[in-house]
Amino acid sequence: MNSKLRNALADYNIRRYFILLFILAAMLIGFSFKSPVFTTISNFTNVTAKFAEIGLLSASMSLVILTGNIDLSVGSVMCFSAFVVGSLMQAGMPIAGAIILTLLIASGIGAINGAFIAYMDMQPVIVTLGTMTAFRGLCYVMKKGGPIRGFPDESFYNFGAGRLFGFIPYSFALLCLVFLGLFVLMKASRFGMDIKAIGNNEVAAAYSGIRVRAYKFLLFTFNGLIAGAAGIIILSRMQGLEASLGDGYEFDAITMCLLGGVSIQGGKGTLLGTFLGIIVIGYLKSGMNLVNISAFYQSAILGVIILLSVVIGSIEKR
Amino acid sequence: MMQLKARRSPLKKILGSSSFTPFVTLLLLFALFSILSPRFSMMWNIRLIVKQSAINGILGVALFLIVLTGGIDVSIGANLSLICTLTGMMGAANVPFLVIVLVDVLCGGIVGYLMGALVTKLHLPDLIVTLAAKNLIRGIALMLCQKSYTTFPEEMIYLGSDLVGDVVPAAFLCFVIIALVMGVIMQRSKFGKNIYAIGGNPVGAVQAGIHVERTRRKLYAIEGMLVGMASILYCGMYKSVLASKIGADTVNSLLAIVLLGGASMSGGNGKILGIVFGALIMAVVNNGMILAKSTDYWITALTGFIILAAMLLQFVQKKRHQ
Amino acid sequence: MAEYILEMRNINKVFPGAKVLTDAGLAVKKGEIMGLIGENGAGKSTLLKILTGLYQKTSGTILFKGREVNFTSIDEAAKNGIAMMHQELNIFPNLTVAENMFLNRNEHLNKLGLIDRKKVLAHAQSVIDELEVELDADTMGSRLSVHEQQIVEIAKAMSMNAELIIMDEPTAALPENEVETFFNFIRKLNKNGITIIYVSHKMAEIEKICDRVTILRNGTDVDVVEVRNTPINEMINKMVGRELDDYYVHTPTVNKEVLLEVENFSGEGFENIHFKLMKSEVLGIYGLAGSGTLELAETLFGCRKPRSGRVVLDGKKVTIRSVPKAVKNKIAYVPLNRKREGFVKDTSIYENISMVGAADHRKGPRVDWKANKEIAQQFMEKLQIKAVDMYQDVNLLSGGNQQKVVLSKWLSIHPKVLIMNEPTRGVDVGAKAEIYGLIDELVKTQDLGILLISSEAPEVLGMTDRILIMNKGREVVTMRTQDLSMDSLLKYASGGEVEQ
Repeated sequence: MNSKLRNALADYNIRRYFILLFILAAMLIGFSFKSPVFTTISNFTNVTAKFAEIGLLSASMSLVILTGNIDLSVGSVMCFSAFVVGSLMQAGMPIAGAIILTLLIASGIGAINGAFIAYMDMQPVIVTLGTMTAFRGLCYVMKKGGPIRGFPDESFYNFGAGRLFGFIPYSFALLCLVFLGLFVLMKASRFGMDIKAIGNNEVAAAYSGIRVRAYKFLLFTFNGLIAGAAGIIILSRMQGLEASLGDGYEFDAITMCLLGGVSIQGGKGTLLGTFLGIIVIGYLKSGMNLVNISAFYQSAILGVIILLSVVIGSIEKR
Repeated sequence: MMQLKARRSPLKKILGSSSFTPFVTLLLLFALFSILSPRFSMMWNIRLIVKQSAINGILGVALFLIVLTGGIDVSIGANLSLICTLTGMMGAANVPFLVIVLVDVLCGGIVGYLMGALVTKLHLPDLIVTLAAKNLIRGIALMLCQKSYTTFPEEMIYLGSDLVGDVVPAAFLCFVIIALVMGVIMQRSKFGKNIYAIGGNPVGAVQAGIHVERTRRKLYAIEGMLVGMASILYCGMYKSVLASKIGADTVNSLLAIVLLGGASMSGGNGKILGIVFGALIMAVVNNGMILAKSTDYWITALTGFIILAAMLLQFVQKKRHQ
Repeated sequence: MAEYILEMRNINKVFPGAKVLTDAGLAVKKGEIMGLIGENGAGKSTLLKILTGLYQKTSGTILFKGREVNFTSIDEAAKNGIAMMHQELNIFPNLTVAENMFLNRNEHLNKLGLIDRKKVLAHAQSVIDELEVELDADTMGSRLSVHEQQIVEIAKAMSMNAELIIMDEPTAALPENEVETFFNFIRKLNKNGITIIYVSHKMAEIEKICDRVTILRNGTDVDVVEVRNTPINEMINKMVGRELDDYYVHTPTVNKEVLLEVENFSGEGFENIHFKLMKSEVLGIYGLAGSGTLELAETLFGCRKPRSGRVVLDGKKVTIRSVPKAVKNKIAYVPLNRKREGFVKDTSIYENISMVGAADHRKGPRVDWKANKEIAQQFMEKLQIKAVDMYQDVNLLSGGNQQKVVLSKWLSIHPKVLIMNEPTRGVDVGAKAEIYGLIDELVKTQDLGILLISSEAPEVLGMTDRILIMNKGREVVTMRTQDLSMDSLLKYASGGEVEQ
């Protein structure tokens, strides 16, 4: 037997990659039997547009989880940002200005989470549940103010509808860019080592001179920023808004991270794993829609996946 | 060298109790809304408020049990929708009331126990287990509940909707009785004291010979049973069950109730009495805002801000304590 | 004729990968106070955890009151009359004193199985009154002083009608001036016929309170001695297993160049500290638990914020209010609790060694991980870290090797001041000697000064040029080590008068 392969498989992360690739392949083959549309190139690229927004959330969420924290507010913040950017444009603000302002506001919400969690030592679950509820509520309030659709400058729809080289959705390109950027950052600086150290042992990290609180604050702020970007993209793609948009997205994002091998206790996992997790869940959802599996089953299936991936993770750890 | 610590006077005990702040908050809010809207303090409206506090009150007590040991459960809403669906199905099949009650409480208990087992036996984080369970349970509930159920035994409708002796809503009475029983268990039984001990000092609890994990499993089971009881009131009160409409953002309101009721999220603090006040506060806020002509769209947002404000308050108190 | 209340014979305990107890024994006579001493890692706590049912023995016999027993839980041990007072106090802050005492017990339940609060309160109060203390049994746990918490623990053990009470470092959290009061309680208990096993590192306490002492070394009981007839030094020698002198290597420094000067330094837990550290000097800081040495070290390192004072490093005044600032000023700290503060678990040796200084090695704007790996490799060889390779998880290493990783991490940034807090705690004898050798080599060959904080008297006496002795957060005296004896060191540390 090839001993190199065996050694590689002994590595927790590489084993995950193989498993995920296997699942992906099995899924594609399975769905293509049921529905031949599934494996066409145009479907392939079009589907990426549907999960790119959640994918963005997962990218920054995986960093938050790596430090042993969690952010449940991203779905709400995304929806709220969509409302904000839409309202601003309806009020006549130019696209660039509206986008910048929205991103600032979204980062501000993330910073509030970060301040509570990093500088006041509050539990991330409760704090982000609080902001999640608060901003979901504000979405309802804003929805009451009238529908968000029909913007003066139609070029806004390009974000959602445009294709790079004619077939890669802009949003998916952005997702890849974010992953690439984070990947380089983790490899070329001490960023990756630091956040894993924080996840594995926060106290020892602090005793080694790592600015634990600053990292946490920045990561939650970044999470807000990304949620804002996702909100802008989703508004552009859907061209209209419901106040319940993005409900449960935080759950999907967490599922993608955990499936990709990021440990919920922090300190373990890779960006590549999360990326594969995004692809697998993204195509799974699209495939389930294509073969008409009802939303009820879908939610249950995702629940089972998340449970299985943590159970397997905890067994592997022993 | 050693100082005699004066025995605390009864007054000081009341002032220092974790239930005092919620009580005062409740009174202040009540006064505020009475001024804002003359209809608020009318008898029929007060009846409505206490009736509306019953379901979330019972669920709040259930969540409080978990929070008391430093845990969290975000699946309560999903569990509620599942058991309501079961109740609806049994109601449609004309199953006798008592059997329904038994099945509901049992099912709730089993669901709770299974989650507790995953958390304590496999040492998985409670947030993830309950988050996954929420999706799973909700999926099952939605699968089972393809249409809305509207037939329920008379006794159930009486409990949910009617008044006892033309004065007190039966639902509120149920809530009070459940709170009373749980209060006695928490304050007067060995089991209850053990739960407080686990929340106050988990390491010490092990060294005091308490079976921490077994106790936590039992707690999850009790929590589920309480959800089962709340389901009965829910069906009796709204007389119509559609799983997709039940419990979507229940956990947020419950968290607000628990925090308003004086519990701390790190565990070990709070009393059932406080949770009752917390439930009444949320009911007053809901009702008062509608009466004060503010749109009910603000309620969700307000719930979130209440959670954040309560956390901030706990932080300030902790700082001052140091 | 005193009969034995407890006999533990030939107790063996094997943990995965480590044999902790080898034919260990402990025989306690009814009504005596038996001391139990041994270095860290000698197996004291394992032996006691086996007795109280927290651990199961691999082999051996335990006789309690002449009957063979094998407890499987603390509950069971307690029911049979063995109570344990843990080193960390186990007060529940959210319960009253009475509730603390009767937690998880079946006394005073009424017919419905509910707690009879009046009876519990009365019983608790009567036990506390028996101790002749003024403490209300209805006080909340969060309002108790450390001393009162200690009393509650004693009262709890008494209320269980325990015949044997195990006290594991019971004075660890107690202010020095309250130790004597505490001893009076112990004597009172003892007079009532209760047998006590007293575990402590503090030889002065052992001498004061115990009748006999069992000495453990490397998982075996090496001797049992009568305290009255045995000088402390002899006990220490038996505990350590060799003459103290040949264990330590230290080359006295002649350097008179001041490296670090601390003036009027105050913070939480210490007051008005002055000292100078010379280049190539090892300055010991000695104090009993709670004397403020930990706080002083952590404040110098920026983990805690100083209240006032002046710190001059290399002739320049520095203000250190955070760890990154300390790192910038080349102040390094080997912390007290290695597992919690020292290394990052589930992380490789090389990443742990690079944890502080990774970004000092760059290739353009990028961190040069290859250079970092080479440095890690060098330190693994230089400090003889025993591991498969540098990618191994640090948690899998022995205590001594883990400590060497922590040391490498700090040495890799070439510190000017190296603060070491109990650097040999939980480290086996071989690694201990290696670490001592390393300390000596560092001050001889590198341009640094070392602050050695330790509560092990032989260690500070053997390894330092001068010693700053602290008591209750204040400096008692700073003396040349050669002018200090073990006796005077212990005496000063307990707040004794300094003779001129």
